[in-house]
Amino acid sequence: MSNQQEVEVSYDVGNEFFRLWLDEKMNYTCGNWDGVDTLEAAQVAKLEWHARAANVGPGKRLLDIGCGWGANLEYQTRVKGCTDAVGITLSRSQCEEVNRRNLPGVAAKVCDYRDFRPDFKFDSVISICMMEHIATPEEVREGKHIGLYRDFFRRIHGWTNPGASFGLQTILRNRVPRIKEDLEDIGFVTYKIFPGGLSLRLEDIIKAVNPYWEITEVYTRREDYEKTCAEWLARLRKHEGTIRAQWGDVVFDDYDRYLRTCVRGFHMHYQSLAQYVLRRID
Amino acid sequence: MTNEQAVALVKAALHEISPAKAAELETLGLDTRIRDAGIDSVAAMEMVGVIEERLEVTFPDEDLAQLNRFSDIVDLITSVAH
Ligand SMILES: C[S@@+](CC[C@H](N)C(=O)[O-])C[C@H]1O[C@@H](n2cnc3c(N)ncnc32)[C@H](O)[C@@H]1O
Repeated sequence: MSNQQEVEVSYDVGNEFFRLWLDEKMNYTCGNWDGVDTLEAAQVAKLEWHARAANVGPGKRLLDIGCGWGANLEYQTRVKGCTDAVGITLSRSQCEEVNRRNLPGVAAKVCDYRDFRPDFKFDSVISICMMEHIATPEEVREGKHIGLYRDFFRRIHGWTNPGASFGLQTILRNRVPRIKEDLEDIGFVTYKIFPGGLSLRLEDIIKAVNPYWEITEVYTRREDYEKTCAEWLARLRKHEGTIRAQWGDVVFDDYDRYLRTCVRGFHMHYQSLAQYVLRRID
Repeated sequence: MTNEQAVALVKAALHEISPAKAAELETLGLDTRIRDAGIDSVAAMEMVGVIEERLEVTFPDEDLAQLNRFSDIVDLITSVAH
């Protein structure tokens, strides 16, 4: 499990740094590129997908686990009419940004999901690429990961009302590279950019949801994530001068290598992405 | 493939990627955690690649993240190579 210090290695480089190369609302996850051709539109389509998956709407209470800089909270409240939403993140900079947005009906806090004790139950849950922080590579090697993922699903079951819906998104590990350079690049991303975490395998989710959640739909979006990362990389490079001057050469070079690795990783099937619609087993 | 042959193959693969570590394994034994022998995940996968090439097989990807001890690689070999 990534601890707060590790999470902040990943997300507290600087809000202004991420603002330079993410979409305008700062989604730091894969967009849905069906029929759209800009990053902004792909991110909106992704959030719309989760609104349907989690059955978001007026009168429904929403929990966003790993809410990032608040793009999803903003969409679900401003566009989908949700009036009561809670977001948790482990990153203090992200939480500051969510609060700065002053979203009506939204409460964001820095909280580990393992310490979360809500005062009321939720009808809708969305968690977009947070589960990658649950198990460390070491825990996976030792076979402890399924129990940790199942514990995550158990907790959310306890925080929700009967009939609740859950829009889940996770990066997947698929093929294991055998090429040394690719292994080194992926090791760099795993240990330097996202310390303490590891993406999941599809079968991990299948094993871990029971007896709490029923999977009613699964979609994979490997090519969408390749496209999303390629767009992030292009935008990062457009701001190379600014980034080198303000955050230093190491930051630029590390992020360039990380995003290049991701573009190739999705292309080579080392990684993929999945979106799931889950229904609470009451 | 017998257990002894699988063990020999693991040693040969380790020798190919790191002769010094292969010598160490003789004293450490197969129950040693791969990490504890100073083999990181990159080198471990390289070893797997060498073994796959020799056996002309591809191990199931889902088994590879759970290789913890040298004996796990031996088990993997005996499970796919007959
Ligand atoms: C890749 S970001 C995704 C952010 C956001 N969902 C998005 O789509 O842009 C992962 C998020 O998970 C959060 N996170 C990681 N570990 C956590 C934990 N134990 N409890 C709560 N949030 C956590 C991070 O702080 C971060 O906000």
